[in-house]
Amino acid sequence: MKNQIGLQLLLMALLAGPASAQEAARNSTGLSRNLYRGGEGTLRAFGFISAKTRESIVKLNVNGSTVALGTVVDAKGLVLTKASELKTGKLTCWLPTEKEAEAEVVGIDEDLDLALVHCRARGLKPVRWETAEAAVGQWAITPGIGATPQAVGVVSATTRRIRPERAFIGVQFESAISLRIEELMRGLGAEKAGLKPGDKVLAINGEHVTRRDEVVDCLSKFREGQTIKVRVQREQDEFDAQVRLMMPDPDGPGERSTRLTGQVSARSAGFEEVIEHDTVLQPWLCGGPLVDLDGKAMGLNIARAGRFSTYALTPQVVQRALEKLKAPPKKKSAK
Amino acid sequence: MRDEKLNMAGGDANDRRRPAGFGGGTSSLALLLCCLVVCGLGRQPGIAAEAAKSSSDTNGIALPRPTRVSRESLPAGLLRPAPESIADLRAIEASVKVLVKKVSPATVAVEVGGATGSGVIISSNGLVLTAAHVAGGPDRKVTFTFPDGKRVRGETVGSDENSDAGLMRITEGGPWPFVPLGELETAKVGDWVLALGHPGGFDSRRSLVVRLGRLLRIRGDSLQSDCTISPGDSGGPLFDMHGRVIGIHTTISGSMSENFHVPITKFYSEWDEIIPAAKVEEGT
Repeated sequence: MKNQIGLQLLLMALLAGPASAQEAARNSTGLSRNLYRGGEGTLRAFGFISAKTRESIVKLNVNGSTVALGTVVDAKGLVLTKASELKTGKLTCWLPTEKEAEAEVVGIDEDLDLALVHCRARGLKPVRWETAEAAVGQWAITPGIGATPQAVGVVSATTRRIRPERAFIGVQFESAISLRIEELMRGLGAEKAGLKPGDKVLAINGEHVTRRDEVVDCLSKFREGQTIKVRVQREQDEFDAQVRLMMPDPDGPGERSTRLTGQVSARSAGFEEVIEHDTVLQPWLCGGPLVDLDGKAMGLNIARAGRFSTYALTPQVVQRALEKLKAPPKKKSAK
Repeated sequence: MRDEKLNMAGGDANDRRRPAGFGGGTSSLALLLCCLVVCGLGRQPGIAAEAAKSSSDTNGIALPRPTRVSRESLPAGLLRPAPESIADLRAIEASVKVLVKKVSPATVAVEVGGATGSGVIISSNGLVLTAAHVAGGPDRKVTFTFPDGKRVRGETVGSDENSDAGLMRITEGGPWPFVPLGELETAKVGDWVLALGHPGGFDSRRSLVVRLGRLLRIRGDSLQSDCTISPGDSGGPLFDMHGRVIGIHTTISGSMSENFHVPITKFYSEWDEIIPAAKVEEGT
């Protein structure tokens, strides 16, 4: 191996030959992180966007930790955010004034993974929606409540629908007609919920099941990231387990590999219409507006989907959902 | 072994891997020795332009010369260490939007032996630059898919495993849309660059995927940017703001935003390696 390194250096020496030694040194040492596309030095140039938009954004916390950003949609404190990130606990919102206010969920659109939240706060300004269609190559900025944006990127693909993915609880049954668990897939929801081989599945969210295809049917109504109630029989006992639906890792057992993709949102597929952008966004910073250089919202960040992409719902889809969420409920649907 | 070697070349890439998990990603000491003999001693190594002049026409397969440009022809907003104003940001955006339209038609998805990657057409007769680990050996069947969905046939020409530079050609019809080649003499760290390709593999429901980044490091045998490339992008082009190809996506790192491209200069200096030996002999 040492030999190889020696050869490699020799090769490099033979092939090198830029004009200015100083320039070459700078080029090979590399760019300061501060000047990377996502670096502070670059983000500072977008400060004027943050100044324009900060009153239209809140940070949503559950029990004191940030779970999402929120997009302000009216002056009385109504905010849209990513529903599946709102874990149970005490919900509060942080305002650009660095004040914390109480918040509560008033409605959820499960198809779009949107939650309508009421923040008990004054001085919020509704976001201005962009009407022009997003163009590939356009700046796509994710402002937060601070002086510079959380992250920036560009629109990387044309607007499209993202199909839902089939999600799993992670069990293998004895047979098509026996719901006794033979094996658990490592790292998936059933194992995490404490199910064991030999346990028998009796019902899913109250729906009685006896065959494998009934289970598959039942699960098809849910998506990755959602939690379902599984009624389980273990020897003489019966109990309910809360099982999270997940995607198996194509490269191995357990949760999706984050080595290649970085952290992605638990719910990252099944959206009516999204703008794809190349912003490297932490999953807990979804829910806020994606804005253009005019500070207008060209979308609402709805999922960190992979190494190279983040999705934002289009303004049309968001506004339609908002109308429905704001309309007084005709009938409480049974859950 | 390969990764070890690449680590040496790439510097601080501790966790470097190929975007696509196929192709012979291993090189041997013997191969490296062989390469040293052929490209290090067998012919005069030189900077891009000279190498291009001396070795760009092998057996009728000619590599176009790099297109010369001056940095000053770009808007000032693109040349600052960091954008300083809304005008700078608008200048970058305007350039990117124009470039995307200009270079997309020549960027293709490639399918070789059941695997997919990306490539870019560099001549009207259909020469396609890609990664060696996408192309594999010579004379393999390739299907190219254009951004508009049009599919055409072709074949692999050859590849240089050491640099991961690969070459294919379209064998039907033409003339094809193509993009100019660049060089790295005028490139500087911090230059804005565009990465195009098909991350995650070709998806008929999705358009070509564009990413914007900056050049992080420029070395003789590695070029790094913070464009977020991913498996499936392999072989796809990295463009400078003049719209010239200056790199071909090769390897991703453990960091989202420190990825690797085969420097375009490798295609000039390793041209004789890329074209299979048998064909070189026939030609001379």
